[in-house]
Amino acid sequence: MASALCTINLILACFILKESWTPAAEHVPSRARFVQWRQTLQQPVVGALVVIFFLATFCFATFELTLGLLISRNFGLDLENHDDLHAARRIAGTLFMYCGIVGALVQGGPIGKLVKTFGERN
Amino acid sequence: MIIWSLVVTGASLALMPLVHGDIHLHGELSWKLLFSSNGGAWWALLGVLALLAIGTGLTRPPLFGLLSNLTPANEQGATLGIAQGAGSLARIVGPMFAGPFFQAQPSLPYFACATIAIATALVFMNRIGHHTQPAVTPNL
Repeated sequence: MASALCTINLILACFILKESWTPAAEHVPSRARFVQWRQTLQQPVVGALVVIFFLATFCFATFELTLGLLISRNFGLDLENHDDLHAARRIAGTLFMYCGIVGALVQGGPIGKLVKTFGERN
Repeated sequence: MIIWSLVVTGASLALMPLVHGDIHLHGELSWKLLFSSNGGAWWALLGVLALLAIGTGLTRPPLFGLLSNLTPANEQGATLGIAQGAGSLARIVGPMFAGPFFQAQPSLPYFACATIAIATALVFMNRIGHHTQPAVTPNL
């Protein structure tokens, strides 16, 4: 399912998106991998954004890993018990689906307006 | 915007371990349960999760928008690559950290991440505060 969506995405990107590269564009100096990391992280704002993205993703990955376990615990499910384990799987699946739907709604809907209203001043 | 999304994320992460319920007493999550008098704990959980999904959903688009706006066109590939690389790295170390912490104390990873998110917001508030986001957000 996921791979099918990715494939469709790739094919659509090929046809719909314009090539952003133009022959006139300045050539990018190629750098070794770690030099490139240093170069990017040294720019004050760009570096900060990369660090923020790292930390935000870190938090999200932590949440993703532990949500099922936390719910099982806080809602009194015993994961050693066969039925409870199945219930926990169902619930965790449902909750992640719910998160995904909310996230998609936010990203597809109000975000453009919000960015325009609040800008990046905050 | 980025800063606010981090604050929302942090707040919801801090609330997450505080939501308690009893599945054997109240029953499993279902539409029927949600609209009965026993649905309280599930509503609380769904509310906190919605907050979290909103927070994390609001981080990425403005962040990548700002990133590509601040980068000259010929460097964008490199910069976005580094950013994605940092994200992948976080996906590796996040679980490495979450596992042991959760075993020690289940709410610990949540409180730790809440602190990280809010501290990040506070620390970088001034650094990225002066940059205004142009009207067009690249679709990333």
